Amino acid sequence: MSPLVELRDLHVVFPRRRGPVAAVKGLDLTIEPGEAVGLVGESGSGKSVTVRTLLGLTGRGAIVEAERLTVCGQDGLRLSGRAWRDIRGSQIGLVLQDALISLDPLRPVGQEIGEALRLHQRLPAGRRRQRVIELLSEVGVPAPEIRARQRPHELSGGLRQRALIASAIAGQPALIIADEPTTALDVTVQAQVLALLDARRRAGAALLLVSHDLAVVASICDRVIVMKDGAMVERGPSRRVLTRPSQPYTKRLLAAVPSAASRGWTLSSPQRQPLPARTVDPAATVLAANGLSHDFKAPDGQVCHAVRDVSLRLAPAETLGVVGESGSGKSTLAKILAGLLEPSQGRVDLDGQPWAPASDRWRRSRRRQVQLIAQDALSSFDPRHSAAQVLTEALRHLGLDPAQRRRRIASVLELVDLSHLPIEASPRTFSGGERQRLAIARALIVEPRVLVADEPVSALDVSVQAQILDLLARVQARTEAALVFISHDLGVVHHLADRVVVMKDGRAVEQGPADQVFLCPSHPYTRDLVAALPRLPEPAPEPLASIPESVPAPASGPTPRPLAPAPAPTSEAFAETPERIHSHV
Amino acid sequence: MVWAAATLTFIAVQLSPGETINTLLGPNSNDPVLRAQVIQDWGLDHPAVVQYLLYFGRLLRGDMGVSYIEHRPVSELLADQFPATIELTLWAAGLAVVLAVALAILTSRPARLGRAVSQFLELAVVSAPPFWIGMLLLAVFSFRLGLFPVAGTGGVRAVVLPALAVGLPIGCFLAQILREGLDRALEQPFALTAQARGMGLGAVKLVHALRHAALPALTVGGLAVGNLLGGAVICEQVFGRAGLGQLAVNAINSKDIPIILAIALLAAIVFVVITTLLDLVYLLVDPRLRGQSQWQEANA
Repeated sequence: MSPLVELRDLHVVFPRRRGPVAAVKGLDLTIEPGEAVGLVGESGSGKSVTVRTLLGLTGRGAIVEAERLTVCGQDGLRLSGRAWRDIRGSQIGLVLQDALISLDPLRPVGQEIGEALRLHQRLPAGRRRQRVIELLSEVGVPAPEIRARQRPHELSGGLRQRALIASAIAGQPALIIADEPTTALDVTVQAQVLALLDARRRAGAALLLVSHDLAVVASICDRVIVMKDGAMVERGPSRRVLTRPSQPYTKRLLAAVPSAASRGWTLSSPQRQPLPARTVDPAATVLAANGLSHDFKAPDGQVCHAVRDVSLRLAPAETLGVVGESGSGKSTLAKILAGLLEPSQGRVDLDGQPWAPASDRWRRSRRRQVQLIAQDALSSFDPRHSAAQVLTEALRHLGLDPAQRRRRIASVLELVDLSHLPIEASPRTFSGGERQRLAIARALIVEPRVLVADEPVSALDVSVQAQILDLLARVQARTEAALVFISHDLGVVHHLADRVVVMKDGRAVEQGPADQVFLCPSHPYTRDLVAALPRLPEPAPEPLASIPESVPAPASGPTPRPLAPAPAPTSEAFAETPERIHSHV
Repeated sequence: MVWAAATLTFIAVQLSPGETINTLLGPNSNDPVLRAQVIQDWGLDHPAVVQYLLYFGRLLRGDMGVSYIEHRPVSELLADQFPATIELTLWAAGLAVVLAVALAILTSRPARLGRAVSQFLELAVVSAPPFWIGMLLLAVFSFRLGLFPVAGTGGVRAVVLPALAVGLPIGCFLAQILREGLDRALEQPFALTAQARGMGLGAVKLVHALRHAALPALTVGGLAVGNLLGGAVICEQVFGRAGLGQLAVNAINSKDIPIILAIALLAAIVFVVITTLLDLVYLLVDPRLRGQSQWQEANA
């Protein structure tokens, strides 16, 4: 059988005002019928442009050149608009990230699916409606008659992603292209969506899965192509590429993925080095929360319990991970701990004195002791402020003279590796990683006792995330600030946290040392979470030929594969040798 | 809001310099019979609070008083002029919408040359003074080509040119807003998804993007229609049409206060009706707003 897609030496250039930008530089890609191929890379690697080129939708003014661009047996370089439209939807289906905006938010999902049918099949309206219902139940949407009449915002993240997939497979395409199909989803929902895509694959469709997440790709793809800056870096069978990569970039990318195995080690260096040690005195307490609850009144008048009866304790220099899916109350908890939201019930003590609830006057003098780091660093800065102003403003109430301020700023910039940066420039001109460093610098400059970080690395590429995580570990060892690290990413939390709180529906369902919670979870919900987590294949010495025909979906695995025990020194181990603290700083 | 407008007009009359009776009567305030009638109509021999209640009671019954210059009830005068205004408004609004949608669809992405030309023309029309457009249209279509009558109110042919003169600038303005909205909607992932389904770009614009672009355009368009209903003064002057604008100008010139009050009140009512209608149309266009409908009704 001839391949569905054959790209040879694909180049895509966008003419821009400041000169042409090459988005794809010499990519080769072949997809055989029924095959699952993964396309992996960080932002700007050209993955999405490649996908759009396969659909003839590269974008305005794009210059597409290739030695060969065959799509479904036709020469993509010579296809007319009409011929492209015949291919789209009927031979290739596209699934994008986040169905909330990838399906028309103003129309019922059933209409969107029906539109895909109407474009390629001549069906009477009644039969078409019936087929929409069939498609929705095929992708596992319960009560499809009702769901078909609802709009994306009325469906949960998982259901609307299923509806999006239903609209992509309505024309029964031979190839499904999924561009970051699970990126906005919770980990348990992600597992279901990946299982669904895998099921379509087993039903005969070929799959091109585009993702920044190596583990997602590893879970269902036969072959992987790693891209960087528009060019292919490495290709091969998934297992080989992800366990024994041959290229330095792939190695770095894999090394940057935080997990149980990386605990206590750096992520961003080519060779793993031990992270600087921290001394955690488990008997001491800097922040203690007792029976915290917070209720919201929803617009429809119903009371919503965002946080219910959560108690936790934080020792100086300790890292407490808070994990949970969207809507679990993590961010509300973060705001209460940061003193930005009064709890409806319960209390928070800082250094043995009341912190919340407390009067603003009382709290204001102690504000600097608890600092917040947000996910979107840029929007946490005043858009008119330069980097220097961002830092100076944080110092305003400390009563320092200008020379002291300058010294303080210089030393904090050095601490977060930003000394080289043009400090009078706007943070908008910085990269994502630099912005997050600046946000961390702003938090650290007032020498806080506690840092509350709410998804601080979720918007970053994996290699940048690795740098920020290393940085956090390093500054924490140096400043001995306690860290509350809130994340939906279990791997990140397992890598970083000493202890973990698992949240669900506002409750802390499980609490304990990270290894204990993730390796032998006791609460069923934690077990579900851990089981749903897509994992990189373990580096194993087994021969490569034994790739199974179809990799089982991650959700179907009864128990998580045992993780390699971390060879890294734990913080407790270092507690006995505090003299090592500065050895790597 | 209507109540506020009514109260304000009442206060304006009370506060205007000179005796209230002279204000109401206008220039011919020396006729003793008329004076007696005004005092009775407006209860001017009672205290201000009673006057206010009387005034309000009459309004509720639909009685807006009598023009002491025209010697006719104000409501009759309004009823004479309002149909012409509505006729012009509907024609102009329809024309503006058709023009705006056509221009926006044709010249939104990826059109380049057409877009630049259209943007230039739109800017020219929007910035041109309305009476100038009207005179230009008259010069070309009436005087030169003789296609349409020069002045007058009756018949469809008489309304075409005034509707063009009023509708063109509104249409061009709306086209600018719609096109911007279309461009923004076409950048959204759902537009890519729709195209990836095999939909043509034109169909994506019509079926998906237009609805997203319509919300901001509706706000602006609705207010423009409201303005027209209050009377298109300049256009009515240029084309010698009847209408509320004409009535208002005449009333102001002859200091016919009851008519001016009634027109101000009518404008307030028109705006309340229009904004309420707009809120309902928003809910139709963007069902996501339905969750907040209670809040919107409370605001209307």
